[in-house]
Amino acid sequence: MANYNQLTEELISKLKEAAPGHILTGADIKEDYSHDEMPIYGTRAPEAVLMAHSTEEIAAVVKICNENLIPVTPRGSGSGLVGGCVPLLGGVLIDITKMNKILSYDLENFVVRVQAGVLLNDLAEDALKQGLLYAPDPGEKFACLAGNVATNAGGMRAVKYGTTRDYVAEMTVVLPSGEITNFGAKVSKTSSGYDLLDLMIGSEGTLGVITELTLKLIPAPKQVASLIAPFENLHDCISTVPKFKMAHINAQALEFMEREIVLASERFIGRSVFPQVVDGITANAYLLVTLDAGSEDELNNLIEQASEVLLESGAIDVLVADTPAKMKDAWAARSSFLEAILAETKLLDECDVVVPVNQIAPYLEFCAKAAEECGVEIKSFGHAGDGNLHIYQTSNDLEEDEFKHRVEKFFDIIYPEAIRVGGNVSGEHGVGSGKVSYLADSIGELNMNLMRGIKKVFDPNLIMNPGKVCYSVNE
Amino acid sequence: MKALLYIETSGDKVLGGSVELISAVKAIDAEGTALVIGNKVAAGTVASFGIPVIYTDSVATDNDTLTEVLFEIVKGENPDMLLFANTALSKDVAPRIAARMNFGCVSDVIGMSKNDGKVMYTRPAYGGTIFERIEVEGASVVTVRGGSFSKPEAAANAEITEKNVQIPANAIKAKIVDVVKEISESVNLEEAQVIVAGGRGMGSAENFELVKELARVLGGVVGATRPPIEDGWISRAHQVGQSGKVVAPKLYIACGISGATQHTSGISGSDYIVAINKDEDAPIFEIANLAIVGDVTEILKGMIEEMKKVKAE
Amino acid sequence: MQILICVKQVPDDSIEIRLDNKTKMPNLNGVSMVANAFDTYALEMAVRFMEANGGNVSVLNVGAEDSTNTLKNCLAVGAKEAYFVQDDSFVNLDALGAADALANAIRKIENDKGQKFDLILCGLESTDEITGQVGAMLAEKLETGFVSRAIAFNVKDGDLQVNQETEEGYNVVSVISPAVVTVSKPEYDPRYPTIKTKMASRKAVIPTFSAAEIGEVKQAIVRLVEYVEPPKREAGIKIQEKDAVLAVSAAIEQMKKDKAI
Repeated sequence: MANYNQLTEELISKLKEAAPGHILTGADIKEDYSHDEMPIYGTRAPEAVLMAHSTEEIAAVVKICNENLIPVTPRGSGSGLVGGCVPLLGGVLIDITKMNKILSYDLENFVVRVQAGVLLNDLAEDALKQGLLYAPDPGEKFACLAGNVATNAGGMRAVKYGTTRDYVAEMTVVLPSGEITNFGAKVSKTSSGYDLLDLMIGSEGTLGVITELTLKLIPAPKQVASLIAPFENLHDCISTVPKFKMAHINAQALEFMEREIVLASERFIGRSVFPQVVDGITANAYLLVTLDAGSEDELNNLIEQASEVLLESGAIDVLVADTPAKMKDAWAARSSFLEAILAETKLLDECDVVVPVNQIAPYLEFCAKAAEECGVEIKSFGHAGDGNLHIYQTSNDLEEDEFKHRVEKFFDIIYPEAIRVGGNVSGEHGVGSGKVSYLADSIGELNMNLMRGIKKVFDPNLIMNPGKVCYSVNE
Repeated sequence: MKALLYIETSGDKVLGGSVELISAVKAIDAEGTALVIGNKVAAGTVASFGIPVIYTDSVATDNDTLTEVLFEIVKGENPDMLLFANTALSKDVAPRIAARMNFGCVSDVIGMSKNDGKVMYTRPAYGGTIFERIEVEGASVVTVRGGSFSKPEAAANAEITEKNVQIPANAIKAKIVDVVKEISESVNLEEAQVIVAGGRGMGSAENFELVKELARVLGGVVGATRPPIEDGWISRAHQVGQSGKVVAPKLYIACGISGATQHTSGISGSDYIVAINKDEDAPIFEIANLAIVGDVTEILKGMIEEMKKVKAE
Repeated sequence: MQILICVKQVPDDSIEIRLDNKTKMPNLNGVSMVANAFDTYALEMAVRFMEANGGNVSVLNVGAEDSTNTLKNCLAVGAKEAYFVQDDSFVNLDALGAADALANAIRKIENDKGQKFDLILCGLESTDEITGQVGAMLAEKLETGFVSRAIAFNVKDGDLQVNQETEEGYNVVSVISPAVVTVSKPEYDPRYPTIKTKMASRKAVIPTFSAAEIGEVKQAIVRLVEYVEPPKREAGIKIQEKDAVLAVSAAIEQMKKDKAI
């Protein structure tokens, strides 16, 4: 890693000149800035915070930092799970949450221009009022859109509509030099050189600061319903997934969840939606499926076909959430998983692997065995439709060191297995600082060096979000 | 225009929302007569506001009896308008009278005005996000939301006329055979002059005690939004909002309440709203006379101490 | 027991509905029409009673708009029969008109079936207009007993007993059957349809009548003149002191100045 400088009084006054009234220091820096939702990867407070209000302001601050070798860390809502927005080396943190305006819709080209700090939830609701859908649907609805882009967030609807990457048309970026540039275009094809836009997506703030975005929208599906299918065991539940595709059913979302996590979530939201015992059979796993269609008849036919697949694969029953209120309740339980785990757990770590769909069931069985061997409690759920699994390690009684030690042992077994079956270390949460070594193990030295080379082209002084993705702070 | 005002009583006490009807009638220049059933002291209290009173010596605390008594009197008086305060009992009775008399019924009215001899009623719909303006052809039965009109001033005593009403035995079809109390405290949010209310932002049962403490210091009543009630920090008798109590105190202090429409539409009749919230974009600030951005527990602790001093002055 | 639930079709209330500034009407763009929430509580209460005690549960809707799908959804969660009275003349029904139409429809259904309903349930109020009038008016039109805000009901020694929600708990009300009872939110939530019940309900044929087939439509006497936006309260003074002590003293000063304390 490069050598950095400390922020001096003189530099701080320079920053204050560049962004009058928007630089926070000392006691004004709230504790939240020192971590994300997964503090187990380490916490560190920044020395100064830019409460950003414009692209130009960010550019001015970044330029000063670059000239003086001060680390810069961009931050949205801080809802990440791999330590991506933690300023590991201090320096300046750029908070973009005040850049929260939806700027303009272009309804002829089906795109919307937003500032980087607009919340996913706000855009989704605003678009829906105009009959439009912003298709990416990550679980955390109060994340910033630029954060979604920086991690290429996936979400529930990825199985049908793809991930965030597929919905970014253009972006404005402040480069580590402090220069402002635009990537992408409002067109649906490109064959114009290296795709710098795609390079920025998923770069987790290591190549520049995203300040504005043009995002693609689609017409909102007219008819939507969800199915809740309880299964006696996880194997039957997961084995259903490939059968949907074979039956030509393109589900909008296809989520699996285990009994324990559903119970925790229902305790958390104080309402019970998922049936626990059906006809005397205890449900140990569930599929939650969302279907969309252009007309009521089409939807009803789809519901019928999907239910047939579910019942043939061993679902004990199929419940239909056919009104907006019922759908909302069913998904409220799913959306609260992380909060519910956080509320009940002292120590927490997570793995966000993605494996081929036909490998989900054997892989989860493998993990369950490994967890037992390592003495780790796990809770799992995930996007069954695209093989993206969220396996949480939880503990309320272990000491932190012992917990970390056991989890490390667990990860050392399960990550290689994920790679072996054809998977990846992160499906949608990113690499951050927490998963750098597992990324290196999985993609190899050659590919890792390509990433480092790219990083150096954008950021020769390595000031942008140091310690993330391809460089660890210890190197 | 003749208006009959049903004044609800509890023992000798006249319910506050009922006497506000006297001001409502003045606002549309109608000639009002109050109707008091079952308590002569209360009848006297109402007459002291300078409005003539019809007094009936019946016991009419249940829906069937009250409907019968009112029906007989309305038939005799033939008013253009029958007004109720919007209480649980009158919500049941008002539409029944309207159906019997074929009067138009308007519920939860928050405003009345008169144009060309016609009364225009304003009332909330769609959870309070939209108001309806309504006219009635012919006579009407109206329930009025508490706090929509001011309390009347005392005036020269008006006359009290007694009337007797016979109730046929077969009129009573429903009888209360048991009263089960699950909540022992009585919470009078509708009549409160000061309400200190807490929301999800209070964070814990322990912190919610600060809300109760400030209410105690100010001699006010504790209110709450739905989450603290669901989390068991306080009983549901304290719920304020469209699906709880609609309130109209002089001072309303909202602590850690973000301000969903469901809640704000239930407090918009308050004279002065203070809101404390850490999120400077919280919607509650859009309706607050005084918005304090900051840590609600810290601010409340300070405010409890300062208010003690103010009260001691 | 023969139970009938009167179901109103309303815009989905899980979305906040606001005034459309151009049309000056509630903006229902993209909002689905569903059974009124309180009516779904009434249906669940009735179906639970039927499952425990036998009998029959029917649903009835009167309205100008097509509500076949809403009624089918009711059949999918336990109602055995559904009836629909559709007529363009119902478009501006006031509560009295709705109660009249319901009463006429009930008499017609009872005549056709040769059997009377013992209990008629309505939701406490609808989530769109929130008048809470129709149940009480319907009891008057049918000249039956009336109890509001039920959270449970049962039959005890041949008498219908209703638990009526109060601020402190509930009253147990004994009422002569037949009766009209309005239902509040009980402790449980309405069930989800299963694929079986959902598919069966799709095939159901719902008897549908016109206004003329059940009786005469009364002119509305309560008329909506216009929708308006609620007046905005002026946002007041904002205190953004880092220090809680300073914030409190600034707040107290302002409250004194405004004579709020």
